[in-house]
Amino acid sequence: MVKNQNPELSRIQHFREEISEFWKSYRRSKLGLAGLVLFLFFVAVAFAAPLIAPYDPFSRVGPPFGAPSLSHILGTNDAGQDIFSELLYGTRTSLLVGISAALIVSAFGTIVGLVAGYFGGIIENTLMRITDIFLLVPDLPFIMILALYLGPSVWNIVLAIGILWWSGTARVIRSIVLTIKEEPFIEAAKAIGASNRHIMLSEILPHTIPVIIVGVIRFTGFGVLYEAGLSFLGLGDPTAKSWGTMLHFAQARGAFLRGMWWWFFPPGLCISLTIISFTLISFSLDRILNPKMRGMGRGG
Amino acid sequence: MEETLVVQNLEKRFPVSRGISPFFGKTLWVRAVDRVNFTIKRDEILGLAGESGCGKTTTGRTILKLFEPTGGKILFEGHDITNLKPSAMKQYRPYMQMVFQDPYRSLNPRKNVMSILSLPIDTHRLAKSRSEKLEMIMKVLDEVRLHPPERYVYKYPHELSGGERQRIALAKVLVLRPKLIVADEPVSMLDALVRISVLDLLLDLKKKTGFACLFITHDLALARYTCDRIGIMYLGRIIEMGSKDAVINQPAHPYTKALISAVPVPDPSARKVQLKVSGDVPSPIDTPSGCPFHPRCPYADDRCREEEQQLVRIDADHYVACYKHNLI
Amino acid sequence: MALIEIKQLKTSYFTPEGTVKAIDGVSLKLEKGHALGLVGESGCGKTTVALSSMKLLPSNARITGGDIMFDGENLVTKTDEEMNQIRWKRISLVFQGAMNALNPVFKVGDQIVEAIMTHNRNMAKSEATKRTRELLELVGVDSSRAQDYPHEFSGGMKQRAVIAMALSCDPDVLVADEPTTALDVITQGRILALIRELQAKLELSLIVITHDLSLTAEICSEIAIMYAAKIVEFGKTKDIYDEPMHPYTNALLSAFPSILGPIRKMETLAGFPPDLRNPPSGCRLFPRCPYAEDRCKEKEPELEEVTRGHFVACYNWGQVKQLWKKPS
Repeated sequence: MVKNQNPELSRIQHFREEISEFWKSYRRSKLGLAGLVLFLFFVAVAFAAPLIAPYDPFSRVGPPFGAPSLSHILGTNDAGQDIFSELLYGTRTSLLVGISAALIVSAFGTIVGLVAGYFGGIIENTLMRITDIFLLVPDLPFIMILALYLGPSVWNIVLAIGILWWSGTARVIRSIVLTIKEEPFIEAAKAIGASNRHIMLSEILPHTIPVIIVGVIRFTGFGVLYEAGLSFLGLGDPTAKSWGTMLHFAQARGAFLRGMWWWFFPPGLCISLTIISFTLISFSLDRILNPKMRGMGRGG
Repeated sequence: MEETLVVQNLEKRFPVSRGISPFFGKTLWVRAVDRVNFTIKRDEILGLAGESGCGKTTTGRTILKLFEPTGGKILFEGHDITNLKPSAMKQYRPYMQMVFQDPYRSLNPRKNVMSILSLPIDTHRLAKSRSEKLEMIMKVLDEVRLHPPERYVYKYPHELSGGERQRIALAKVLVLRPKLIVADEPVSMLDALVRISVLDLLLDLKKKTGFACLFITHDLALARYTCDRIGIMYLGRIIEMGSKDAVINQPAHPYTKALISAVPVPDPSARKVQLKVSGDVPSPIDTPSGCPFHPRCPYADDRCREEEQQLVRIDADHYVACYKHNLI
Repeated sequence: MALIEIKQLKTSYFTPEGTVKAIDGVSLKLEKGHALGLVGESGCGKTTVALSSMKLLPSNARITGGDIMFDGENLVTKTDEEMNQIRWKRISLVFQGAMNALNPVFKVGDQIVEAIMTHNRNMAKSEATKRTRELLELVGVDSSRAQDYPHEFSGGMKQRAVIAMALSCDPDVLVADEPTTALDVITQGRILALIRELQAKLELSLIVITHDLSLTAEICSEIAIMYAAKIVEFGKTKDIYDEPMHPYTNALLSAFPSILGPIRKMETLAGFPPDLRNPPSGCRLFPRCPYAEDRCKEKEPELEEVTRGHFVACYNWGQVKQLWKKPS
């Protein structure tokens, strides 16, 4: 470090060093890199959909049940819409639902876990009992009732996932908070006179970030899967374009029976690849960010 | 104000419930701090020494209201802070601070030095602008002899050695310009040579900026080097108290004598008379009746078993809680 | 012939951040029946010496040079199989913090029995149990306590239990790494007395690893001072305390305040030990040494015998003025 250096510069330097250290560690994992590449690919597709898609997926542009041809790479569906275009636009919906659901779950779960873990006592007990109740709610029946009540919509799926999964996150965050709470630096912060709000947000929360990040990524993957499954069952919005709705109509209109693999195979493949990519990324991140969580952590 | 801290009959007890359910088990109490009295004058260092479990650490925390006292009084510069709620305590906090024992755990590993030192400044609004805050931080880093300050500002704790971390811990406290510092075993986890430099720093800072200090330690030799006066604690009570010369050179209580005779001396030819003390420190839940030391004391008799001993003055600045002090 | 003779031992740790030369040419001798103290601050390599002698290094560390002669045989070339005949049975180790490594869910007695039977495949359980009782009595723990769990033992008792475990196969050498660190002063004195007693009773040879020079004065016959992976001074205990010759030894001795004698200002060396991934070519204390000269920076001084049995690695050993006076 250079003497008399502008301290702000050294801060940026520090930050840059941290990022490059992190990248070096991440790079070591081939699987992690593969996952990252896949993820970036899908994100790129989601953004570029309007540019790449040959047709507007909502318009009838060809004969119904058309087989793959030069003008329609993946053929057309029962309404004569281009399946390839559907697939591209579907990327947006699926990823959007996945990420939104993951964010809601993480945000809500973290807040509850943080408050419950920090304050303890009655607050903790009450919150944890509520958490337990939500953990018991069976997924499918709940979503079906919600869909019936609120009407079919992509955002209902997001809401449903949020309501169902936040409790798991809350428990995990709470247990982390319970451990951190006993550390001397928390006592030191109290001795200085820091407010509870400050301690929760500035002292404890940073310790939960790595777990939250890994959680967000993993939940996004699950969110994509759930959206697909629920849309397939018809609980989603049939007018939206997502991989799940594509599968729903493929099944409903007999694509499976007629062997129209170009209709159901591509969305299925995309779903699988997306989930694999999120799993790989979260796995590699977990290794780096939470080395203590790995039971067999090797030294050196 | 001549007396920075006055502690009267301070008590801190913790409930320990026995039995399967909180409703059926008898609630027993651990009297971690059992009616402790002492005074710390301005710019004085009072050592609180004893073995683990004697209550010295709990006393330090209770004085700062990190634990709520269950009895007695705490007067800080004449103000009775005993029953103040956390919100009311906040205004006193800058003046009464603590330095913790473990340099590896008393700094948040996810915050850099700048962030760590910003906390006291922001909490008590000591700086009006970011540049003023940076200036204050640089100044205090210089005071704790971390040169050059710019080098340290954005470092994280894991990039610092134990001695450097403890200096940051000191800086964190110093920036508030406290009148009282409770130092809880501040150097016991540091290496030998580093220990001295941090200790000397503490003493120099006291000379320069002026503060009273409660120095908690289990190392009597260190207490002798650092403190002006020393109090010896056993099972929650102060059993001897006085100027350091009086307590170390003329120990009056059998426990103090045993403790001093057990301290290893870095001299192979030193002849030490080891005072025989039987058994181990009893559990603080079932404290013995009368004098808490009687089960292990070679001089104990019936009166010791039945009668609680109070601190009695035996010299200009020397108090002991043992009626047999001049018989042994 | 010395019981253990370590010649130019080198051990390195291979980490992603670089190769750490934890021991870089260490030579030591332990005579039968003697107690050797290996003293130094954290990171100097003393624990690595112990682990290397028992071939108990972690997977990322390796002995990279030198010999460890034990009773005429070189341990460095021995296989793991062969070392299993030596570990516990001829050289035993009480590692740092061992008393806290007792398994909380098993009875103390059972854990000692398990240790015995692991190293004596043909022994019957009843015999091992009998031996366990003998061992507990030997270390001053009532044998009926074998039925208790670790949390029912006090700190001192746990340390005794761990020592008992280490002595179960009647080894020739006991290596104790920081045997009294977490213990109270009075308990510490008792454990040291126990070790002295056992040494006499069992004709045990000892290696005591510590950073505390007050400790070694009580039980060691010879002392080796380590700094930055090297031995800087070695000699009989009396010589080391009466006439320290290396500037580091001098600094270390003056870093421990004594409970006896006049209170003197303690001196220390500024700075830190060098990075062992890239140690300097000259004397490793150079940047911190008050007696440093040019030749110190160029070539590292060898460990040489300057008076009978007293070795030092310093060009200026004759000029090192004793900073401390022994308390009279």
